[in-house]
Amino acid sequence: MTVYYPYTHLFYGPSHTVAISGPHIQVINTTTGDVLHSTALFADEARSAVLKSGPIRCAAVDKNLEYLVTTGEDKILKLWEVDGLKLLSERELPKKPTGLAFSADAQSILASDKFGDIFRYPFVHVPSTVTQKKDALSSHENPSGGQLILGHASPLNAFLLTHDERYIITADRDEHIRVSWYPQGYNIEMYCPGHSKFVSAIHVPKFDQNKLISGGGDPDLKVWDWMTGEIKHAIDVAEAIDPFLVVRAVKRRRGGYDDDEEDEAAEGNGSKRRKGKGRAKGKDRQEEEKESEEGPTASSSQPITENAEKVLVIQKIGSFEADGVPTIIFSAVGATALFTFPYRDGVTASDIRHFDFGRPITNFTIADDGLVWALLDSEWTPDGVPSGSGIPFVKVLKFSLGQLVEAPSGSHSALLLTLNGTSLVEASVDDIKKLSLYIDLKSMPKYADKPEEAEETTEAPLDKKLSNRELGRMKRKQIVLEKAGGVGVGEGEEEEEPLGKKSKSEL
Amino acid sequence: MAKRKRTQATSSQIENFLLPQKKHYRQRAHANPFSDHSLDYPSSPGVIHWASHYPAFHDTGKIPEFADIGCGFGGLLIALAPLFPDVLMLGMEIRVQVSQYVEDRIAALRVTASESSAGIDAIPHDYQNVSVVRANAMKFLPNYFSKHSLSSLFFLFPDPHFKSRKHKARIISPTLLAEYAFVLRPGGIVYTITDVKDLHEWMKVHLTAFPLFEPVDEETLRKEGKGPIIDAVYTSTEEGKKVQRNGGDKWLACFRRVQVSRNS
Repeated sequence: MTVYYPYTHLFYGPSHTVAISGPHIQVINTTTGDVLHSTALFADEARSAVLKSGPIRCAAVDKNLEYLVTTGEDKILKLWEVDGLKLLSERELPKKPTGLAFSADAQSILASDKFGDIFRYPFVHVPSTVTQKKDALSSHENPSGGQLILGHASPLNAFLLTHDERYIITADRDEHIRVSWYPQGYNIEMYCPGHSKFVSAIHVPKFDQNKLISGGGDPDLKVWDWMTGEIKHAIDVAEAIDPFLVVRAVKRRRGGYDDDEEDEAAEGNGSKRRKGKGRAKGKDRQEEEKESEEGPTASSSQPITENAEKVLVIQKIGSFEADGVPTIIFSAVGATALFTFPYRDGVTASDIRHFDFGRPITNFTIADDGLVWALLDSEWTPDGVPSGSGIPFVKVLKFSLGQLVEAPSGSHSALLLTLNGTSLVEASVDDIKKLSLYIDLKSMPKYADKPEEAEETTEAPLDKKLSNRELGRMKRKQIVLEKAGGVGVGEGEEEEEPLGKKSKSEL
Repeated sequence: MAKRKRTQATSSQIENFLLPQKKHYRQRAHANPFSDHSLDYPSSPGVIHWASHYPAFHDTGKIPEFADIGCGFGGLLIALAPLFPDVLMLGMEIRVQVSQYVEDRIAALRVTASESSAGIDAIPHDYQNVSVVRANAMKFLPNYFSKHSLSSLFFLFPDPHFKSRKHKARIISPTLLAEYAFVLRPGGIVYTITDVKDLHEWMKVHLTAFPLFEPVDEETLRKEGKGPIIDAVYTSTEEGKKVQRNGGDKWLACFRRVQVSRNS
């Protein structure tokens, strides 16, 4: 049984196409299907440098497909010349990158990161001769001298430049979609508020450039007028996706983010506060902090049982015109189908069409000729052992009579044959696991809700001191409520806690 | 620590009893702003039911104009409330116990004021124009305030996060300033004060460097009639009083929101 890396990115061009799988980049002649360049065929030193960076997480090309930027696991931004697959420069990024993009003129490279920032780097890299000195006033590490465009206080999941490049739109794990001037990103034009879960994909359709389509953990895709922040339309997609969501998320214990956690853990170890808190041993410090803030929780005294659950994470949103009909196409992490709906007013969930591949989709690309290239994780099996089944890793679809169908053989066939044959790169079972293709299912959602519910019911009996405290508060509060008079206790309480849940343990 | 007399509290015993006691709301002084707290926050300013925060203003359509970021025990809000009776003010505090304290404090003040406001307080006031939310302002400020809706933004004695590796957790940073500029209307004022010299330098440097803020000195603001605000900034908060008692220095720095044009 031979196991291969599934593809994660495909950049399609009329003359050549760039395919990325695992740590490797390949340039393929689009017409003939000949592999022109491949990092898998590099000589020793160059090859080990490629492997050292690990699986490629983020990649982008300029619009002429002359240049490619990639990042792996090592926070190194690599700029490649596609012709010859020459490595032009390497830059160290300050934080783990989450997305890359070229400006239209290819003169700027933008990188978003888990810290929530966007840095801009010039095409030509002039390595700094002096190491960046960190003084008491420097707020951002910036090892490669990038220009800080903007920053959120939570990890950035997606960003894009509008077509005129006057605005940059960014989306984060805390539900925010922000529209900022570009490059003067400090000037926030508007927020698009309304998501109640993380936003993981955004798209501005070419045929309606004033609108933004966003999706994430919420059951619907939202259509915005991004200049005004007004929501124009929402279409429920969760039900359409659900039957195809085959990859389950194993619940994370905590919803924090790794960069931060590393810091916290490093500092938390051996700190005084840790002592005398034997109970908290072996937990990461965020959890400990939470305890001290919100009182002991039921979950802190017993291990959380790992259970797999369905999690919705919109992976990518795209658009194209099929037979003159503006169409939206999207995918979800760990789902086996691609979904489309016509882009028009009044569209509902019943207008969603799907094409099922039977294997989770890792990415898709819409070629200029309207064909949709779907990249599949054909090694996936429910128990996580790569299948080695030899079923196709790439399929080509076309839009016909209102839905996606498999494209009959044609000019794309040579490339497709190569992608499903000679350009596949062998991998070990371990390599496949390290790809963590479905990490977003775990890292995107927050899991902070349950402990608080537990707090409300268990707080008092667990700790006598606390309950004294509660009593002390209650005595006064009750009199205050009575004094509030004719209002009635229930109503009075509502006045004090207008935003709902919070902690109502006092009552 | 012994309980201190609050200047806002009256001598009335009943009122003193009604006011919440800090000993019932103890919590460590720091919170990690980057962790996922069990917060409940509005998805957008538009969905907030401000009338439930400010029942006496329910038919005015008013929204908060002053925001005290990290309001702590609420000293500034309580001091400013009688001075600007028509201005709605909101405190934001990330620590659940402390925000609960402020909430209970305001509730108690509202009740006592309606009973015995005549002649006991120096300025009779019902504290209907102040409220508090438990919130992580670093992450969710735009969930509470719409574009240009605030006229004053307060950062009083913020957590200094002394270690340089912790500087990213400071409430003033080049990237967060964009959000403050977004919610603050042009001409609006950011007030900062701290007893930590390094933090003062930090805030001053970053706010001054930020294109949408320009420094404005105390004298100018006093001439504009903002003297009472500045006095409250210096002295009304628990932290401010503590510094005073210990004879420490306080550094004030204020900035005005300005507009810039696009680079072409």
